[in-house]
Amino acid sequence: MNLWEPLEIANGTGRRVLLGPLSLWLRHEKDEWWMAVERTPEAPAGETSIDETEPPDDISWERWVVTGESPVAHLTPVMPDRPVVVRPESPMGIHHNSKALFFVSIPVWLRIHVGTNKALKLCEIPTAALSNIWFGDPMSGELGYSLCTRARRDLDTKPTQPHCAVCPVTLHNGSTEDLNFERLCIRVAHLRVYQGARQMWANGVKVSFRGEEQASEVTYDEQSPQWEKVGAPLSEPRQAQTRNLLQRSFGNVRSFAGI
Amino acid sequence: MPDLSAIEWTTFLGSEQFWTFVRVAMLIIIGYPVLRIAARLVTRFARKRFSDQAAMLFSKGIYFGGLALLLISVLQQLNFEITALLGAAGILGVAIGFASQTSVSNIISGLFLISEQPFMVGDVITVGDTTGVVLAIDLLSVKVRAFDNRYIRIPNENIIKTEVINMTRFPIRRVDINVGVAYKEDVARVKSVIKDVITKNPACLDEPEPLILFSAFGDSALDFLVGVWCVKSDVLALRNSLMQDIKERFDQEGIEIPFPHTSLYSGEVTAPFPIRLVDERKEAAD
Repeated sequence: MNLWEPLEIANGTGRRVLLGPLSLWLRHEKDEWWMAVERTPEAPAGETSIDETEPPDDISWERWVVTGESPVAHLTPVMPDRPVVVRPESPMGIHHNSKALFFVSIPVWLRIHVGTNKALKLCEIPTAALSNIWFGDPMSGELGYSLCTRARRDLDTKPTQPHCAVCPVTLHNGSTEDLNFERLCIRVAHLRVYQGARQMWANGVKVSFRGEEQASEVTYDEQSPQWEKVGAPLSEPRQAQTRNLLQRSFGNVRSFAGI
Repeated sequence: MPDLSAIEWTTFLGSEQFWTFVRVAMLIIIGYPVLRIAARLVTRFARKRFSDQAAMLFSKGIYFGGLALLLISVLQQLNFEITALLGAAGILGVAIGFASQTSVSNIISGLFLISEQPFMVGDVITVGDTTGVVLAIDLLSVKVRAFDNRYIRIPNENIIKTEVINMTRFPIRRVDINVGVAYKEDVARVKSVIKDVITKNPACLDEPEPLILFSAFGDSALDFLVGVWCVKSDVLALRNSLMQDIKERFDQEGIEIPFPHTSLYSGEVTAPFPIRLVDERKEAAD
């Protein structure tokens, strides 16, 4: 069962799509498409299915009028629409002139199209509800999603999460000082999503730390991830990849929020 | 019409009056369009580097200043005695200046506001008791729309002289809420409950980290200051939802929010307060 293949929903019928904590109901009523969403954080990991389970009575629906399109829905996994700020469960330190590879699981968003050849986009919904976070100081910065991670360095011990795309992040400390960071900002708009045999993948990110006073050099891999065999990308980046971005990526200075 | 012979035409064309007429005509025909073009170019250039209001000011300054110079040049060509005219204008200017001190002060204040930019059109500001959205920053005054849709005109002079609070200058804001709990409550448990409420509120930012401060031993309650960060557009929604969430959760957890109250003692903390019941009818009979 492949969630990413076209899903035919006849008039007057519906489907439930289960992807990790997300339960998505799609209904097709005459010239309307209906959608309802429920998230269960404690849902069993690894659960993915498409069935005809009915939603709870008190669920709230969103509706779109779409005329003249075929009764086919397409689901596409895409990266979140804002940067993701990854916070390791415990502070990390990287010695100068050292490099480390981490695997970060990023919950994807589902882009819903209807019609032949994805003619019409209905909406995008997050598979997991991530909390908001501000990366930068209170006067300037950017809004992102907060992700707490164990920052695993070994794929074998990483449990599979079907709603997440694993992003290999290589951190290189090219400065003369040790890098102790408590948060890392990944601008996921530049990432693609691939489907592997076990899980989804994003292309790799390499961040080169050049010192506290300088912006880090960020490079996004053009090739598909090498840890698992993957096919063509399921989705393209939201923003075109730019080589060697200089961006502020690390945060370990806590702004004094005052009383 | 007098019939001028060729000699008379030649004499006329060589005369001083004719060439004066030509100079004046050239000044007007060439000078005025050049002035208009210059004003337009200044506007276009200034709009790229400054605000629309500043561009308008520069453009009008160039136009009217140039027009005055053009007029003086034309009058000089026509041999008008402009010294007296300028003298009279100067006296008139002084008179007008005295009469319009407030307006001039507002204009000068407006120029300072435009250069300093403490706020821009669209910002939410508080000036004294007035809070609202800035609609326009004009030469004499700033126009504000209050949240109840009143239209408020604030003279620029007032703004320069008063403290102005710009609520929307920075992208995030902290919402401060004071919470009081009964003295019998466990402080650590109260903080833990508040933190859980904050975590579950989608408008609260994880960072900057929320502040939960045990701020005072109040007269009637233990006082806490809860400071939570959000994006500036969510301030009202957050304040409303968070206060409700805290109240509901406290009710669920059995955490008391006390009313203001005062304890009376008769001199000793532990001794009961003496009370004597008096039967007024029996006393009256006696």
